[in-house]
Amino acid sequence: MNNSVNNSAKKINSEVAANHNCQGLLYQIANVLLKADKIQNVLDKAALAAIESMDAFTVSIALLNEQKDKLVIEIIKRADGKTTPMYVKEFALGEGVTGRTALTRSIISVPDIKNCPYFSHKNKRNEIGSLISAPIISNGELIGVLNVSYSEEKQFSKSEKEFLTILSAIIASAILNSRLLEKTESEKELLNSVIENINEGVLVVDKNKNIIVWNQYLEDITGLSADQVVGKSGIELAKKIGLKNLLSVFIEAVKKRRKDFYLETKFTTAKDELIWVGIAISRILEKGADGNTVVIIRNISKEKELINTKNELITTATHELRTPLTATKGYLSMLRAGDAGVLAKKQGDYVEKAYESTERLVSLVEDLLGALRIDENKVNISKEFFNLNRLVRDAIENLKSKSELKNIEFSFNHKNIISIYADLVKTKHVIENLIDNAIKYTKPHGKVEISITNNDKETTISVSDTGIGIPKQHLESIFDRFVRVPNSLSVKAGGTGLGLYIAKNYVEKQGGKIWIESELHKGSKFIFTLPNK
Amino acid sequence: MKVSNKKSVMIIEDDETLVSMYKEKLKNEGFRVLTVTDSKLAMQRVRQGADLILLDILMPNLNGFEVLKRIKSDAATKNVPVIVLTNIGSESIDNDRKLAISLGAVDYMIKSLNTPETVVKRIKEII
Repeated sequence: MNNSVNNSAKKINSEVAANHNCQGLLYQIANVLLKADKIQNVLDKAALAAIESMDAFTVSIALLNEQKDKLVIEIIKRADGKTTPMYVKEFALGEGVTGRTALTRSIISVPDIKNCPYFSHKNKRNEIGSLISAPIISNGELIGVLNVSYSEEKQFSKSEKEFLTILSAIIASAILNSRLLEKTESEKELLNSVIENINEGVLVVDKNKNIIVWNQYLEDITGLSADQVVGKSGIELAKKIGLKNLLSVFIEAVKKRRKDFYLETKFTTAKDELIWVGIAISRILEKGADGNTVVIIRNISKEKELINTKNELITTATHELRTPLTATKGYLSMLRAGDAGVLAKKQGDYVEKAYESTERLVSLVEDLLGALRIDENKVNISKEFFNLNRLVRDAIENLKSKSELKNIEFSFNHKNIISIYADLVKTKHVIENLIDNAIKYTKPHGKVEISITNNDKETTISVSDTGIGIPKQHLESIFDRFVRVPNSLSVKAGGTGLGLYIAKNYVEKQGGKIWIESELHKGSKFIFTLPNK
Repeated sequence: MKVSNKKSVMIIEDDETLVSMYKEKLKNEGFRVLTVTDSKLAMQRVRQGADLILLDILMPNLNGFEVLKRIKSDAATKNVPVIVLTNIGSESIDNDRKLAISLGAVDYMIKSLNTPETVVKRIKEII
């Protein structure tokens, strides 16, 4: 009796001791296997770990294929180090020991291979005596099967089965880790290949403005390789390769807390080619990547050329129009004035109408060229002192004749004589444009009022009419190109929709502001300011 | 020695159509008109005497500003008032005006924004 108790105690003690050893062993195995690595390395280490920890003869690991209908043996290892030829590499679910383990998702132990009806390795029957097979499961999903075999027949104990269960769980995690790593690597490679192969420069700087990405395109156009620039200051680099204006724009954008901005500039490549580049800068404000800035650099020389060609075309065409326009207008005005003899009433009427059309032609061409110059950034401001009152009076005089038919009343409000420091030609253009519009859109017997005032900061000029007014939804876009408010009068009044676009540009280029107040059917008031300095 | 009491205006302009137009108007208004279409000959003709010069800026062969400079630096011609003419669309219209005035032109008029009448009106104000 005592002996049996003693024996039981010994058995339990040794089992407890064995347990401790097992835990320690499993911990070590986990440490090794769970380091992310390529799948083949992981399987290798796993098989070795199994052979050593379970004192096995051979170990094989089969993985479930993508279609999840077959298990494919990926690795076989032998304790004696010899290689084992693989006779049967694939098992359908339920086929052989491997297949059955996969199907039942539980450990299958075969203590005596000889008598196993479903063991499929015909040849191995000589070498293997017993086999235990465990499913490799992670997150409830079957990944594969772990087969541990011995040369002799063997009964598998409960603790051995428990050990195997934990070991296969560790192997499951290791395989998962490895696959995640592979996925990340291939995504990274994909992204990298995109960045390296696209036909645009990609540059990323971190929050300290040091370069972290510099792609092939940039290497090609600057002659500087990624090795030379990564980790270095982006600011220093920009100075070095002649992109100083890029820097100043960037710093300004950061100050104004803008997220995206774009600029175009000339650049000389490493091959001494002068190109136009469009630079799009985006500051990344997302968690994790916060503080990084992405810069995309694109060769826009072709686009620039196209625009230049278009502009040249328009310029040439309009230049050619000048002389015939001037001549037509000139002779019509001489006819009108009676230089070729007194005209009969009807003749006079016809000539008058022709003359007015010619004047409209001239202003259309002028508008086109004005808009063109704005586009090409060729608008220069040259300021001088001049008498604003006289300018306004002259403008009213010039345009009064147009309004005579409509019987419009003009009034000019001013408290004093204002000597203004501004661009004469452009200011004149703006005022005449506003008065012209006022006349166009005011009903007969309406009023056009021009007022000028100033304070120590700025001068304010306003032109108001008692016209049809402008609906609220159009107020925002009225200064945009080609915008003409749809209404019955605007169809008659004609125009290109460029007048206000040009006026706005001329005012803002002088440092001023222009805006409109309007009420439908009551009238509109255009106001603009010009700074005193 | 002046043959008549009529004032003379010299037009230095390369476009024939416009030359004949201004000439027509000036003659109607009682001016004598001399014309130069080739700006290279301009200086020669100007020295022969004129009461006012209408000078086109955009000319082939010789820059109108060059001609203006020469007129204003030549003792025989520097006191002749010059009105500079140009047309819409010339690139630097804004700077042109300042330059013309600074070189001694008495006025700067844009052809297509004016008519022969307004040009003559201005001429009459000057001479």
